Amino acid sequence: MGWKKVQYYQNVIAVLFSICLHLSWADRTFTKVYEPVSSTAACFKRLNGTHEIGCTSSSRGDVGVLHLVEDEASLQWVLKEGPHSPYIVLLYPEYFTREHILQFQDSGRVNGVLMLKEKGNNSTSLTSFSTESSCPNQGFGIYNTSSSKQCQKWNAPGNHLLLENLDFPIFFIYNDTESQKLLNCFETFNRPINGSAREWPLCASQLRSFMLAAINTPTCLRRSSVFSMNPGASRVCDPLGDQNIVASLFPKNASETYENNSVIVIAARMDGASLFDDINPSADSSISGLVSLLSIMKHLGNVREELRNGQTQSALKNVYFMLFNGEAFGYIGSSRIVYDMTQANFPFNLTSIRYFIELNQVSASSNSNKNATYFIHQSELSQSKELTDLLQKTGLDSNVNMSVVTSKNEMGLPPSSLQTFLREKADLTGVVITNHEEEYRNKFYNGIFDDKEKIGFVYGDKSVFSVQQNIAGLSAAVANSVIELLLASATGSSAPPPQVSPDLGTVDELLHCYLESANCSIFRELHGQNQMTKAYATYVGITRAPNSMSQVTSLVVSSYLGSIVENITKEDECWKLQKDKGYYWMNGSCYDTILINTTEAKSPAFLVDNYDWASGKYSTWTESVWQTLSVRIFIKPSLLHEILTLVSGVVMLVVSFVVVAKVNEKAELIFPTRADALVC
Amino acid sequence: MNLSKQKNERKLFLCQRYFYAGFAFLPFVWAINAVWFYKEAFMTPPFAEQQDIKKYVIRSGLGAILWATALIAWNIVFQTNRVAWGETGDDLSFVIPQGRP
Repeated sequence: MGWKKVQYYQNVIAVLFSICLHLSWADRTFTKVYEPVSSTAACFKRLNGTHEIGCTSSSRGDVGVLHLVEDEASLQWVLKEGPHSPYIVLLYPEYFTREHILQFQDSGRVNGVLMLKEKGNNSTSLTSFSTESSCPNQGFGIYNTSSSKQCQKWNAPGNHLLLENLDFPIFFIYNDTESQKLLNCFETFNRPINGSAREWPLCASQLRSFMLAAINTPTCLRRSSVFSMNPGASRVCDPLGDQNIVASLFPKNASETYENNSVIVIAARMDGASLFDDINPSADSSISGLVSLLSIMKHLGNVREELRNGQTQSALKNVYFMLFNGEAFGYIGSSRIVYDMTQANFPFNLTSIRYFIELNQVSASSNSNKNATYFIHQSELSQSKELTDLLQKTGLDSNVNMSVVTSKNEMGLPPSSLQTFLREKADLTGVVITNHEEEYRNKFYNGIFDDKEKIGFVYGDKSVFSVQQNIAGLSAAVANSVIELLLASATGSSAPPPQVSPDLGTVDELLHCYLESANCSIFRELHGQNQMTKAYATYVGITRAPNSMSQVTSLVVSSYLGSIVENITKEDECWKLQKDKGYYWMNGSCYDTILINTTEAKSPAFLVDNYDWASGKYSTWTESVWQTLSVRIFIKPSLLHEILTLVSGVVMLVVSFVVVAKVNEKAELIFPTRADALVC
Repeated sequence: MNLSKQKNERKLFLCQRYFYAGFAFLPFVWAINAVWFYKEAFMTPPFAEQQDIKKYVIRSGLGAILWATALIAWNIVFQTNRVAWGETGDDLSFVIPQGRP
């Protein structure tokens, strides 16, 4: 009986002990070893018809000893002298040059690169940083190897790294606390003392950004369509693309066709690009043109009724607004629209276009001495004197100088969506309005640092010299020119043509929405409250993934160019008519959005049967699929230490087997049986 | 089964059966046949059926070696040329590696 009580108490103690263990603070071993680094953006892999570009790690991640490269000595340490290769290089943007990255690749001693933000708080110390090539979209415009003129170096600081194939991972750390973590780890463990290397253990890092696709687009698409039990499991790459937004000022009957030279097209690009995932502010590269075009839409939408009378007598029947997506990657959006036009899959074709006005990079600065200057580039064969004269006149009224770039300028037309239209119709009358006469003024084109600070945007700054004022002035000038063109042949009307004045408030708010925070008043009115604290990403993304930026932009266009349906005041009545009449409930009213459409912005290369992938005719860009993107740091012991740990573990295993075997042999002596105990 | 305790007719019967079975694209059966009956065919004192068993063992062995060379040769050719063969190479692969050519 005493034995049973002992047993009972033993069981109680065992249960209590295990409960205590569960409640106590327990952790997995790996969390004690690795420190994750968050707020990272990875360089990922893209593929085109013939090549792959970008970065990839090995499937388990690449490990290297951290080393900060900030001068020539530390560069040589990593490339030649340091005894602890392979290294993971930490550097600031000044050192992220083509020469250095290729040196890292060639040396074979670098397993990855971590780029930090600019050193110190002075964010204007970096003078240029562009990973795009020096002639963006070379080969997709009118200047390629077969034409007489070559593509010029518009983007002079471009180091072409966006289009290189690198075999190590690159991450960008955009949070100061996380950067400090890395720098502290380096200082404490790795920084050489008096030029001599430190001893193990050292601070090391593991970068994981394994990309599944390889070789080129046709190969990865073929591999994606392999049969697999789990649908979608074999996908390794996706085509880039999203939607274009096409809107018109006046309605068009489905049956009527436009005569030659009866349509004005005003266009801009709305997508951005950069080397790193999810960071593409694109302030000057695309947002400036987008906001300008939205402001023009608002102006013309406001005076639409007054224009309608004159429009019936004019040769110009309609104004179409086009926002292209995917332009940064071989003019995906505009080439698709041109293709649709040639396939008669579009409301009008190329011969109907009288004027094509494109707004390219249009953030400009001015000061008390002079107004901002915009430059009008023309295609060689275009006859646009009437338009350029008008633009110069209306520009002065809005306090912006419009300067026409003459044909003496050797550089030709800057990379622009107009070039895809010119490829099909070389004598199209087109102008591209930019803030640069020759080389780009924007030294951060298509890069991660092309942000609001670089264009000098301060939200709420309504001074006469602010970037908001200049963009608003440009938009008003273009809108007024279009108004005059539409009413030029209006006879019998005594009223003077309506004039619009720069809409500073709208431009200011739109720039805030697209550059600072998507939780702004304009967006909130259109689609309700959201959780965004920063701006929407401008990257075009893949065709299968929704793109928030283009979706909200189409809502903005609908609110500017759509007309409010007066007699519908209830939301559900409005939604009932969405399919038939294109009604959309926004901002407390029912809008007729029949004039606003979205067209698929997917490259014709993916639609044409038996497309020759090496031809370079259409954009063939796809993006690789990836699984995890992570960075973590840890203290790494020397190889000897690691081997010793493993060997001692094995020895412990063998010893434990021996001990248990021995104890088992003598078990009767060590653990008496019940009968003996009871005898006591 | 302990082969040395079997009757000689049984041994011949087994060896012959294995030899014929190997023709169904089963080179490993030939290899087993050759190894298993090697001692009986060449190292035990002669008996009546030993001549036939020797014949079968030699033929099985040759067949196994032929298959082995053919498979090794194909393996080498495939591994070295899979990437160069592009689409054909992918069609011949059951598991296509990710992230590399």
